[in-house]
Amino acid sequence: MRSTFLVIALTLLHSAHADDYRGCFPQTGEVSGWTRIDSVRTYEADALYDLIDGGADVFFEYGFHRAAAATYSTDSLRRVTVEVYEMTSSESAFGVFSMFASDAQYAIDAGDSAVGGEYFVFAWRGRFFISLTSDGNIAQRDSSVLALVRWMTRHLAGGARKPALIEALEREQLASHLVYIRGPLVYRSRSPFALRKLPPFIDGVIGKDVSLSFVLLRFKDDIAAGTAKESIIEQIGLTDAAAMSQHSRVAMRVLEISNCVVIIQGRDSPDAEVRRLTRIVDSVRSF
Amino acid sequence: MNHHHNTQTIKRRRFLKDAAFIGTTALAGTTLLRSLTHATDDSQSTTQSTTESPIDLAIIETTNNYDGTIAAVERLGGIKKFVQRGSRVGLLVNSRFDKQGTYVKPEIALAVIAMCHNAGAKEIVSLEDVSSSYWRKATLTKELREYTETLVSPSRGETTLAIKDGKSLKEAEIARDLLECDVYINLPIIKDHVGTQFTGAMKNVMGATSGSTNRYFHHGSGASGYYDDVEFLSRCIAEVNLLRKPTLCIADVTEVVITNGPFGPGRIARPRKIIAGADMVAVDAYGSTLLNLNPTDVLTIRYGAELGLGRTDIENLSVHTSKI
Repeated sequence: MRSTFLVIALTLLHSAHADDYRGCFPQTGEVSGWTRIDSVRTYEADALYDLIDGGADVFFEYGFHRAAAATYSTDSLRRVTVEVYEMTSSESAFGVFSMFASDAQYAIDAGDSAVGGEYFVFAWRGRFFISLTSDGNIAQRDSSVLALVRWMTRHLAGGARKPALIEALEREQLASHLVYIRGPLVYRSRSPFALRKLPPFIDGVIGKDVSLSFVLLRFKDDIAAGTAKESIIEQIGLTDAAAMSQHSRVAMRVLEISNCVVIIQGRDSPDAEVRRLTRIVDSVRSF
Repeated sequence: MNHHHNTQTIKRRRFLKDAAFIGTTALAGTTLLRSLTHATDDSQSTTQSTTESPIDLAIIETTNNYDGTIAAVERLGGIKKFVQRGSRVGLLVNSRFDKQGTYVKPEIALAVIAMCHNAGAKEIVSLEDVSSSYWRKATLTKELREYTETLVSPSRGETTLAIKDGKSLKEAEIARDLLECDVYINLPIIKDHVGTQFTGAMKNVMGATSGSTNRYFHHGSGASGYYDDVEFLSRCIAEVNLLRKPTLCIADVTEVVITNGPFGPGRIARPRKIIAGADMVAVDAYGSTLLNLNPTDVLTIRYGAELGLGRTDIENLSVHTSKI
């Protein structure tokens, strides 16, 4: 009886700890060299605007649950701010991560995936996106910053799953960087193809490589995809029946694959990439 | 704190002396003095003008933001051209973000405050609250910190005004100080914006409009998302500027985010430029080119020009560029 009670209590305690994501913010001294200089601030629903005025809608577009932030300092780095965003799913958190990670310069071994740049580190762990920014520059793979990020990702619940389409595209290595999108805001911010009126879509991927750019948008059904394709062709200004624009060095296609529309542009004819994309979409039709 | 007392006791002599402490380079003080006494004696300067017309835009490339700001205003004819003795100055500084490349460098704001005092301004009102943490982003001497303490918080509340020529925006609730100050100086940072693609002087005025007016900008057309109707939002931004044009704009394009704006963190560009001019549309138009944008592709700029708020034809303006 007593041992059963103990097991239940420990289970509840563990669940509470996993649920309380604020536990991922270390106290002063828990990570060597780091001092927490303020309390953990929390943000729910529209209060997110208080944390990132002008940018909260990006998170809402992906599916936002809640966020927390705290500030740390060390002797060498004046101060860093760490923000942890809990999203509604691991796919949502990956989406935010993929958007921010497109500005990164190097990969880091932390969480489910992490990258670093001139003055920031971004990490993805399960339903969580972590953003660490500094007042000044951060040396590449700075050991103290890495220790802090790794400590935090270890104290967040895992269970990461990338969107199926992203996994399929990564296997094919079609582009060096893929951004998973859920709405028009990030489309407009990241897509190389400007559209005045973006047909409502479920989700999609923006891929960029040296000689290739593409956008793949998934619609609710084949009919919606067909309507969207016509609208996109008109807006981009492609007039021929094959929806093909062949300039001197740039070729563009707009095509419908199942319930998806693909806009693809390459330095040379992107026919081979179109075939690969068709195969990828066909392989994950249930995504 | 008696702000008037502080204002009166900060003399021109010390204003010049203080500059030697704030610069980020060893030459800070000397470049400032040179800029004040030999405003056009710059070996790397060019002026794009077909006539002897006054300079419309002054572009200073610099690594010393304080000196560069003063030099930019000097190129336009000096602060006294804009700020008369005894005037009440309203200052709108984009200071509310905290990631790199998302806020106006405090040295730029501080240089403007110092210049206004030097011109004999009676009072300098911040048209949007500036937190004390903002000034901590600059390394200030005790004396220079006094300048920040002379900045008066907005005290006259907001007022609702009709916008006669507004098509999307018929009225707006805006800081009374912005309308009633003698001199209105707009200090934006030019950077990326996830919703409107670009933000600069024209959009900065949303720092002085009320929350309900800003919500109308975003949702007044029936749009549910904040940026679902960017055309309407951009028209509202242009039209609210009909209420009052700035006396002077000084835009920070020294270190700015070119992705994930306005909040950051994002990719940083470092044009290291400060743009000064009275024409807010021209300031934004020139600034947009530094972000590799076509000015007329930016809706706020296009609508601002259509409303007669300023010009986008930079090639026809008198533009002075120099490096200090």
